[in-house]
Amino acid sequence: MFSLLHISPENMVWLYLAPLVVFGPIFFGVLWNFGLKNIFYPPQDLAEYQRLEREQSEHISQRRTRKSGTYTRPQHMATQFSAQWLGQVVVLAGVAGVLGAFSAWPSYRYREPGMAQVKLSLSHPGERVEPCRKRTAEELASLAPNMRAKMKCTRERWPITVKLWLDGEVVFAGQAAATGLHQDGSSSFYEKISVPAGSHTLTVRLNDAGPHGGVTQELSQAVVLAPAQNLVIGFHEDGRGFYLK
Amino acid sequence: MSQLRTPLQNVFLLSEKTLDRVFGPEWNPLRQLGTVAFFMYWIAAGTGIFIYIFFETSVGGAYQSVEYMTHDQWYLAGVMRSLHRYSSDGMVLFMVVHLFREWSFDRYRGVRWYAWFTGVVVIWLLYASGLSGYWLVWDQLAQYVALGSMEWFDALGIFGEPVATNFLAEGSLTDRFFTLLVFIHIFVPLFLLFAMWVHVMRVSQPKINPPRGAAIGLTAMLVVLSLVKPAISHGAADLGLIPQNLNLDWFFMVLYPIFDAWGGGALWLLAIGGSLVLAVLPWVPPLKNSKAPVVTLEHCNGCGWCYADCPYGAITIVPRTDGLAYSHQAEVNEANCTRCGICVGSCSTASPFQSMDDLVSGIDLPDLNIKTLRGLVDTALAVAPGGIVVVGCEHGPRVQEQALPDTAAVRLPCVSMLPPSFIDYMISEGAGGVLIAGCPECGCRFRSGVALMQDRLEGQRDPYLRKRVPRERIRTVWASPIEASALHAATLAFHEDLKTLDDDVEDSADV
Repeated sequence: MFSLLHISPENMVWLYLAPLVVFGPIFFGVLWNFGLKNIFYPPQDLAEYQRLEREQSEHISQRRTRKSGTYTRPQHMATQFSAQWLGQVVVLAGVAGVLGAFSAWPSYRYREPGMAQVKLSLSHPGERVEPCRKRTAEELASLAPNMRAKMKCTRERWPITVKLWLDGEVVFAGQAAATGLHQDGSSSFYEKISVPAGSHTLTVRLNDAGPHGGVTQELSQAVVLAPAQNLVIGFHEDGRGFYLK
Repeated sequence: MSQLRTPLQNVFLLSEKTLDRVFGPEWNPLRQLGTVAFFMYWIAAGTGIFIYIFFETSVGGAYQSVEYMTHDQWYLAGVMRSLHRYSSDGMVLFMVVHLFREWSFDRYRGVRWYAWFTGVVVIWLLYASGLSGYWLVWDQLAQYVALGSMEWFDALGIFGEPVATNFLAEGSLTDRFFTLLVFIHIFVPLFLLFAMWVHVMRVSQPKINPPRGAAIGLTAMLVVLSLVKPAISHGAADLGLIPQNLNLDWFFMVLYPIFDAWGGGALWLLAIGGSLVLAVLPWVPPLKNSKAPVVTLEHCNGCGWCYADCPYGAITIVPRTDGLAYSHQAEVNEANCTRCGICVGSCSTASPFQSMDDLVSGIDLPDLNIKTLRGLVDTALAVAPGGIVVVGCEHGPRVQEQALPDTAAVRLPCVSMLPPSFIDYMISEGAGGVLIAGCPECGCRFRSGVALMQDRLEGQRDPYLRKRVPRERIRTVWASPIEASALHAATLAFHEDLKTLDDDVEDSADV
């Protein structure tokens, strides 16, 4: 997947506005055609339009005060007064019961007891598909003065391959392509693996140098996971490689 | 589709009838679902402003401040918090029932597509508003919802780096994040309010507040619920631990377990697909509309009565275009018109006391103009001379299924399509009585048909029924299609009353 947006806590507002982005143009079109257009471009001169509206409502309110005839509308309070109050209390109690109950019940078991979680989360750029090289003097001379960078680098990066073993058994293996239209961004992993609490040996290996690169980063460590613990396998970009947290 | 709708509609009709006896039609919550949902919004907004006073917008302080409100100041801030939660839940509950009700009554197709379509946006914004509020508590439930939401967004695959990594471990979050969350939780509900306004924009004089009595009852219900079962938090959020058992608010969080089970892609499919299906429902299949009313300028005096009565704002009054001595004329906006015919009933020129050749109204339904209406009435008078003419609507009790002697029926799209002068005409022409049988009170298919007819009969609204018309020869029955027995009983009782009335007249004539 290519990267269109980089979301951080500071600009995360866009996440919740995503539905608006999806529906926004349609919504605005509807809004414009059936409401706003009349506000901005009333079908006739605005003052005249408003005068007519005002005149109509005054005229109508005057007429509404007229009375004639003796027709009386039917009465619906057929049941006993006290029974009605009781009925209202019962119905409202029922609604309250529904609200009170389903606002916190039935409880939901997100993770089974005795289970822990290993979360693999890393974002790391693969090696360049073509390594950077120094430009020759002729090449530099042929470029415009403001474009004379000494190194020539292509943009495309290798996808990253990550494999995770728990007690010698592969629990995750995946490959992530570099983000960006030119595949020049980072490759990211975000995986949750549910594991039984207790002692384990975790091994994680990464290859960021293409099909012939082999294992470029590795961590193997014994861990003791408490029930409900969330162990993060992350990656330092400063060269220190994998870490557990 | 109607085979699916009808059973649910019958459930609603039965429930509404029952609750009418308990609350009366005006206070009946099932007849006020939209306004009650609006009311829930106001409660949530008001209580939200109050609890914001005590809320601390920081990672460490958020949970503690909510705990302070819940336990130390339970009697005020705690109640406010509970009201905030339960009113939000209530809004979801009433909105969902409102949605099903409108669907079952087929009030989403034709010109009503607009309210339905914009309602889909309201659903999204309501969920965004509610869920962003749950984050603010920053307990284990907030942690679950926050992570679930972020992982769900990550499933879109449009972010360079998974946004869920913002919640990776303790220390990932900053106080600024909570400031942002508060910002979201204030502005998304404001967008929601805006969408709710748009939702009712095409309705004339929309009703957005429930009657005072109903509002008091609902408020009391929420306060009692808040005292009996206060909203409480889970343990404080800890990103180093995964929550085990969670007391989900199912009104807002019903999709999260689905996300856990099916994954983000399936949930996006469900959410977007479901929304699209909902959004296009008004056109599946499209409503076949009859022809919209037409204004005959030679007969329109621009009085504005149709403009005042149209429940959907489909009529505007514009300056005269034909040079006649009147200042204004009516103009119909077909896109807003439900073809109820209420405008015909309110037309000051719609009178049957003319020769058939001259029968033209200022505004008329081409498929059922007043000439045709006069013909239907004349036929009814001929079928049941001296009997009862039952004027019913297409959505109330089925008047034409009655098989009573000395009774004839006329069916209109809405009873308010009948100009009061036609009642005068029927009685003048020898009808023993006129029985108006329309939708239940506060349950009119066209919003205000029942109320308008009652106002006209009572003389409170133009065109009103002339004083000379004997009111004892007029009866109304407001009932649903499943209440055939109510119409039957009312007709029989009316026959009896008319018989007594006729006997009295004969007695007085003898004297």
